[in-house]
Amino acid sequence: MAVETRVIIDANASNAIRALEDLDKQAADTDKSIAKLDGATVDVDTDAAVDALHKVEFTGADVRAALDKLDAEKVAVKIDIDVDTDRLDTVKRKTDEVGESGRSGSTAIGGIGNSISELPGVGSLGPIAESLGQLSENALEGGESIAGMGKAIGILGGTALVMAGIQKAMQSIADTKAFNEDQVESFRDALKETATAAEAVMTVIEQAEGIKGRTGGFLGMFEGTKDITAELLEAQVTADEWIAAMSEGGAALDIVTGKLEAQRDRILDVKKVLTVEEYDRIKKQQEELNGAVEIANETWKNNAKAMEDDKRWAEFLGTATDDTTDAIVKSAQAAAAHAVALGKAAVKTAELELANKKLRGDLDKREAYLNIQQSFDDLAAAGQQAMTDVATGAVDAETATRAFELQQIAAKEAVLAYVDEIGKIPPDKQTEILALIDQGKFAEAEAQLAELTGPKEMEIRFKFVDMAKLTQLAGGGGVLQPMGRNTRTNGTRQVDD
Amino acid sequence: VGSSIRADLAPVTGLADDLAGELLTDLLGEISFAVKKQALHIGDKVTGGDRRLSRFGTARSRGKTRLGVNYKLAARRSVIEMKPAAMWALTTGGSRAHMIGAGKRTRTGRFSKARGGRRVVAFATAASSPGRGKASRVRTGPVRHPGSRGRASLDRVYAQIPRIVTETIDEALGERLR
Repeated sequence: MAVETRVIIDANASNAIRALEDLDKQAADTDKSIAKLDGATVDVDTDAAVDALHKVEFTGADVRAALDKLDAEKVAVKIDIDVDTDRLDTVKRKTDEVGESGRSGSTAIGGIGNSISELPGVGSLGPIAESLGQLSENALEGGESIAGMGKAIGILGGTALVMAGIQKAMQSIADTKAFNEDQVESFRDALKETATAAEAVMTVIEQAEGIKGRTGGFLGMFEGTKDITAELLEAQVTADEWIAAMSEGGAALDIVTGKLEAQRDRILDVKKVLTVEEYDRIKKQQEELNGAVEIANETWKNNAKAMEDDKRWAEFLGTATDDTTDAIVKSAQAAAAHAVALGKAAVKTAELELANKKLRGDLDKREAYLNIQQSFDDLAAAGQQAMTDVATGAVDAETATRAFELQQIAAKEAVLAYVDEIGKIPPDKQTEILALIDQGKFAEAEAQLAELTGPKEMEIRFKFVDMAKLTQLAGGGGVLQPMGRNTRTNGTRQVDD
Repeated sequence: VGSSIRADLAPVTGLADDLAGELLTDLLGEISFAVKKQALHIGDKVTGGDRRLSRFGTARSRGKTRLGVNYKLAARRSVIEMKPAAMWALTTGGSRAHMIGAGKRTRTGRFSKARGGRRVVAFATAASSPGRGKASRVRTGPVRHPGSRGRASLDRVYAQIPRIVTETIDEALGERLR
């Protein structure tokens, strides 16, 4: 039986290199795309992003409504600039788990990463890290043939399979990029369509040389309706009047509809014998005029709505129509920048909350402790006072004793409150301290308490794996978990030669 | 503070240059060394710990020959050789039943002493033969070896290679990215 005792490992990393170079290129493209959105660079500084949000004078609901208005297919992902507390909670919970469960850093960070990736706009880069993480599986695939054949194999050819994962990530980036571009385009389109609707009406009518034959077309309002140009001409409605009616409504609209109705009445008033054809024509004309009145009203209604939208947009963006495009694009940039910043903000918020909690807890303890000291001082003072009072005969002994006992009870309560706050003093110690108070040994009781429960410095330290930066950057979709594991390739026994 | 995805990904994408250069050779070296260590470990296990086969080899080399692994690195290729091949083969697939010390077979199927027949030390547990009993454990002439089971040593080595490659690459790239 021939046995192959040689293993040839050919390392071919060209696919991997190409994939990495492509990744680099894609990342550069993404940067450009983001820069295009932002005008210059994406500001991921949390404070700046929050400031930017404060400066934007409309709410998340406005932006969402605007986005909803866009083509539903294009807006596959919504930019949600409301800080979602539930999601923040998830991040915080995961952060807590790092401290509490003592799980391996990378796993926990993976959890945090995943939860961050649930935040809007952050998850797009996730698979990059994940695909690198897949190195092991794919390398395994690449190496399977060794066991079976024991022949020459291209181990690092397997790494090329790994890089297929990276390609996937690049696809994801490309999609994101495409989405961003779509978004800007959609905003612009929407503006072209809605924000300048009034102008569009004017332009369309002017271009139509009067109102000739152009009842359909603008904004698709009249699609499927009848050409009313002839009727308008017969009713002696001028282009100016029509424009005024369509852009102002009110009195101008009344004039047009009045003229149309008058024409209809004129036709009805014709006193002569009509041929059947003539009658049909008039009848038809009449119907068409009726239709024209309806269309005029309908047009106004639509125009009014469009103009109202216009007005709303113009108002809340606080700029002229021409600038509205820029304003909305900027708002989208702010939202996108915020979405990017949100990941960091989430972590930061969680950290702040923890710090706050810690601080608050410390303050509570400190307060309880100070209360004890105060009550001890009061108790001592009360004792002194009682003795002085009894000695000078200011009060009788019974009253003085009662006052002192009350003070003593207050001191005990303070101690118990402090014990509750700290929650770490064993019951027998508690009893001992209370007994010391009963015996009037306040100094000792205080010393015991101070020794047992005095405020101690506590340090809470988060341990992140070094890949955390990449994780955050990549949106946390995956962590290079299989990497950097501690086991080496060897078994328990060392090579002895 | 401006942030660039490209700049942040630089540690990852920077691997491209490294992979085109020394990193690849380094990786190969680490992989090969790790395979060697694993193979020697398996050699220990299949031989009982000393990587020797007690009855293998000529009288001169018996007990001295051990299972070993060499590897040679070129720029992008590593050749790992398990030596001596016969020992690895023997511990992998075992052997069929065969004759020892009988010389080569003639064309008619008989053994010819003239063609390599020699005096052999028969096994200590050799069965008694007519007229000699069990007293003599040394005999001249052919001894029949019943064959042996293999221990699948090479199979075990090969089976470990994917894991070794994976972990070595993981570790090396992980260190780079850290």
